[in-house]
Amino acid sequence: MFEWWRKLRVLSDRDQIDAELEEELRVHREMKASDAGEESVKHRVFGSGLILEDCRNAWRWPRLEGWIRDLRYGFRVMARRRGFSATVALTLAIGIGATSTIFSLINTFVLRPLPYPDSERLMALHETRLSAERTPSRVAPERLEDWARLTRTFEGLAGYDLETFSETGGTVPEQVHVASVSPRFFMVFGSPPLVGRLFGWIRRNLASVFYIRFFWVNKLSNNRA
Amino acid sequence: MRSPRTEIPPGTLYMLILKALACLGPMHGYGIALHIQQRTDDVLQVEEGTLYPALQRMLVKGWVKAAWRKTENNRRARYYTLTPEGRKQLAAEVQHFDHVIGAIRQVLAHS
Repeated sequence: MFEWWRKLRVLSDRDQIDAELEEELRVHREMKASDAGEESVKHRVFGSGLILEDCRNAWRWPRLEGWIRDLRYGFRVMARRRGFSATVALTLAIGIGATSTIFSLINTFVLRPLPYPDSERLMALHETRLSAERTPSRVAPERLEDWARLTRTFEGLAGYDLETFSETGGTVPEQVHVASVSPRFFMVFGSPPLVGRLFGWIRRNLASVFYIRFFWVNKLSNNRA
Repeated sequence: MRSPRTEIPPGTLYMLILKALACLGPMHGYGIALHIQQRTDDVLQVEEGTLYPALQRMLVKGWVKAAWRKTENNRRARYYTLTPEGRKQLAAEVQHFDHVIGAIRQVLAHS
């Protein structure tokens, strides 16, 4: 930790450090030469650049500074070759985007359990008419109730039907997504509605109309009595 | 005739420099190199390329201090002095070195 402090303290004196190192090395060679009986050392300064570099690096963060230099160089090259860089960036963006999209789809539909208690026991039932091309077909409410009465395989059966209405009650007409669900819907999924309360039995056993969350957030949240 | 030059064993350079400074007191790089060379009868020679980078690292580590002074021959040279941390480091390195050399000797003595 003291090393960092010492290095930071000389950040602004790097030129001076270099000058001192150069002088020190020159003095060393002069003393060596005069001990060896040589007059001139001018021709013997070969290799001092490398030594100075090693000495200088002691006061620096060679690896970190190397990374920063490389980064800067990278950005300069990218700025110079815009078209190429853009192509690379786009390729990466599309590649990463596609992969993460596919993953989030798989995660939602395959990996992550449905957000209901005991969701692994939930099953989707469909009715298929052998003659019809369009399969599966919708299940009539009465038939659903028959299934619910007769089944011994399931704890409960519930159905839903999605519709889109135009809500004109407000100042501005608005499209509302509505699901009609069968009476046992919330019991089967094991979770209560986010707001409001369940209605009783209205309109031939198929009642319990509720606005799904989208509409509630946009509209009903303002006048939640 | 000069005896063949031997590489300084890895990891001992700091110890040798610290020891030289402990013997000599404040000394410049050339003096340190000369001391090591003479003490080892020319077996170990510290080149500038290893000596000065090592001295710089020791400055950063705080084992030595440096100051410019005049030599006897009236040259300006940078003199290095041991700090208390440097003395502690020298003691630790010598102890470690003795430990390792002792172990190596034990291996060699085994017949």
